[in-house]
Amino acid sequence: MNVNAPRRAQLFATCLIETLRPEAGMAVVRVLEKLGVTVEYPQGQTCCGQPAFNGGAWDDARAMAKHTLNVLSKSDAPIIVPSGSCADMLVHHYPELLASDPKFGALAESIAARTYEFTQFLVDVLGVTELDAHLTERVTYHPSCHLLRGLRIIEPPRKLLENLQGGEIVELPHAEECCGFGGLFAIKMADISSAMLERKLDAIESTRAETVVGCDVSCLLHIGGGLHRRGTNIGTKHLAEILDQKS
Amino acid sequence: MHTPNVTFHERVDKALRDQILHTALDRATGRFQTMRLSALASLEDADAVRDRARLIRAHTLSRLDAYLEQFATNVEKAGGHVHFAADASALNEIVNEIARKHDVKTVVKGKSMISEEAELNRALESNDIRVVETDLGEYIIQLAGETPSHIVGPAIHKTKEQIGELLHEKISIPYTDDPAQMTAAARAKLRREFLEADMGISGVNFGIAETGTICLVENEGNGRLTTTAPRVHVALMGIERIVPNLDDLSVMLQVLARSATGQKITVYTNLITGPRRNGEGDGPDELHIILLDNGRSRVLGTEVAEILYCIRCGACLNACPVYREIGGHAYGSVYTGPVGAVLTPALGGIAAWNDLPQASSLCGACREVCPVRIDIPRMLLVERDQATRAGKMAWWLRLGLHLYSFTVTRPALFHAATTFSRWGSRLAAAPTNGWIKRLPPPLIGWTRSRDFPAFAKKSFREQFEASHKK
Amino acid sequence: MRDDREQVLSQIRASLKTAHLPTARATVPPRVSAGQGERAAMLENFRRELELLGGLSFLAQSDEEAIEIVLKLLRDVGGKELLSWEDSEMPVRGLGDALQASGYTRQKVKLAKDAAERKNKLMTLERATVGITGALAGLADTGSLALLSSAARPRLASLLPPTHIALLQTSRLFPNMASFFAAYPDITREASNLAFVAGPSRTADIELVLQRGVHGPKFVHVVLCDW
Repeated sequence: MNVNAPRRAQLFATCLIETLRPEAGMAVVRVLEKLGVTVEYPQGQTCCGQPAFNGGAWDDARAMAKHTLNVLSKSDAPIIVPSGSCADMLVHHYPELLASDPKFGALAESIAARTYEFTQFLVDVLGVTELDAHLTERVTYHPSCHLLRGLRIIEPPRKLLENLQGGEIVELPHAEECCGFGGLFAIKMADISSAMLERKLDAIESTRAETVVGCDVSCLLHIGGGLHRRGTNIGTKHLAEILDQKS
Repeated sequence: MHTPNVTFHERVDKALRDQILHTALDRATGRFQTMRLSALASLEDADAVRDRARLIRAHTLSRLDAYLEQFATNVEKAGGHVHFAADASALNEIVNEIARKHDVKTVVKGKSMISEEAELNRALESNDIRVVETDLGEYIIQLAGETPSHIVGPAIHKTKEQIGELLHEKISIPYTDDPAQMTAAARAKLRREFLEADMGISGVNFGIAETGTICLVENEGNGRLTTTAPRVHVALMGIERIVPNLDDLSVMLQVLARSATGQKITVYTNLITGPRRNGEGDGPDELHIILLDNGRSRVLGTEVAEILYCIRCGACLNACPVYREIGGHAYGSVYTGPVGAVLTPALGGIAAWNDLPQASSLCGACREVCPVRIDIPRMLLVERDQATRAGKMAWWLRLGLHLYSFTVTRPALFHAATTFSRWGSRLAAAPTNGWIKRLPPPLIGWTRSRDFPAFAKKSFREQFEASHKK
Repeated sequence: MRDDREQVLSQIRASLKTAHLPTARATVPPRVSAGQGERAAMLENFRRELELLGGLSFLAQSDEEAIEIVLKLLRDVGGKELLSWEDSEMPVRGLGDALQASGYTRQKVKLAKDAAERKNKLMTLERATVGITGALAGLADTGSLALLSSAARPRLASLLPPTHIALLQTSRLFPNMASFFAAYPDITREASNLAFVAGPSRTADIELVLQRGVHGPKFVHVVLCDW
């Protein structure tokens, strides 16, 4: 672990963890605290605004971005986002959206500079690649698009997963292909999205894994919903939940 | 640009049901992707070459007026004619006039996307000029009365059996599904066309400003024949397809074929500088280069100007999970896949083409494979924003996102709303084990193929605060 | 004839005032080096690449050897009519006489301006079974030949007949296209056509099944003149 690593961090939990998968957020908190990081929960946080941004309602997205920037600027601690796509929103799209805003442009840049996706924070900032946890099942890892191609976080999640004791990791065929979620795309273009999902589900089933692991609750929600509709017993977990597992 | 009369959703629906199309798309895009990877691996420093290729495109466009003037001057110096066409009808008018002047009855054509964009064949045929496509894939779809479905493989959507039937019916050869026999039959048929044609029309991959040269790449030899045998050669190019000099050309060529078909280079790289000269025994007596604008010069001044960096390799099509599901025809436009989804609305207006930029999960695979690293997802987003401003967003969605934004920026309201949704969703999911099987409209699309989980009993905030009481 | 030049250029100039062109620089930095190649390595590369493309290469150490190889190839193909570049354009001395002595006739490629005459001539040229050319250069990294047109070097010789035999001096090998252009910066001023040819004509337009010899030659043989 890095000697100069920060001892505290703000958690931007994301709206999906807030409402649908709080256990993933709690796992993030426990993993960080076990590593000696004090976790702050900035009050007033809601959603990063990605649905509006991706949907093309940029004025609405700007309003949400400004709200989030205000919430996160009250502390100078680094910001941890346990989601590739929300982190990508903060890191890349806030500065773009607010580039010409006299007040928020600079703030967006400074927040982006201290925002990290969860596994990126563990591996690249804290310097931690081995955690005291047990893998108890057969898992396969789905690298979500914005984590992989937006933030270019490729190795950290894999390293963390591979260094766990026990269990088994099976490589997902065509792992880097999109699951078809894409936010509102899944609703507006439901047929195309579903066709993409079917491929992903076929690939997952072919691994005979018990659990699909990822770093984006949004994609896991999509994949999980598909797996449940198919009637399989394959579950989904945020990587933090795996890293938080006791033997 | 011509807009189709069937809606995007109907075209998608048709494509998704087409099993033959699916098999063909999987095979083609899969193969192109594998070949691309191994071809790029053969380049000493592929990333550096791509960076350089991008610099060249960006730099050229930033001085496009000067480079175009230099190009035109040098073409004319070499004895060629240069025409600027502001739009498709101007282009068609110019080609028809050249044809009239030379008493042209038959035209052979090499592959040209510009010709598709301007619907040139129709314009020539309406003047009783016979037009023969000579690229094998283009020839097949011309016989079938269709349009290309892929920039590089125009007929990848057809099976060999379908093509066998088509050739049997249209050019009266005995039915065969053997690609070798079909290719040989097409060669024999088209060879006569080359020798008898009065005019050859080709596309252009790059125009070289410093030398007034046009570069055409191809594998079959039809491009060379088109530009060698007939008396008159008419070359069609978009105004953006300029490179400054030959060294820059060599960089572009290092990435073009590798990204397109996975070849290190195409079989033929044809550099043409003016018509035949100094007693040359073959080659055209006249060379006309037509530079088509058709909206490009306007796009250059917009947020999506970067799409003009495109060198038409088709790599983004092969990498795109949406293209792989629906194929080229569903886009309803000349340019398909991710590049088409950006370029079509940019050239033809967002009002008519709003569906195209929406049809993306923003997965970023296109940006990853683009040889000149065009940030296609960024531009899809820009166009979605433009669509909203143009009033193209469904009223319910617009209202929904407004309300969402209103709620999200007011934490107390947000918590009230999520609490409300929590009880609502848990109630709805109670009979079905915590999963919602059918969401109400307009969210119904989700539950067509996916269940939706009920909200958690306690929100993250509640759980965090309970465990962190001071 | 209609010409929208001024309209198009002025719209471009207007647009460039607001253009958003990521990574656009005033200049593109000069390339470090186009690369220098060692002949033996380039020769090996060239032959490997050409053969991967379905072409064949033959190494000759003298004029006599080269002539012998060409005559053997011609016998295998059959037919007596050739499209050939003129003797002065080929690196092998005595080839023309040898061809004549063996009973081959070489069609003169001289297309008329007149439409009907031109078509008739093309029909005659179409009968040739082999085209013979002398490449200006070879590019080792892709197995490509550089063919430059002139009155004595018709384009159709490498295009119309089903077999193309190219003679290439091994001293004319370059590592790649960039190094070739560096050596011949004014090459496009010299002729109206410069073609790089990498192996036989091919297509995969029907179900991605590779087919050779679609419109151009199905067979490309390169005789490497290594002396």
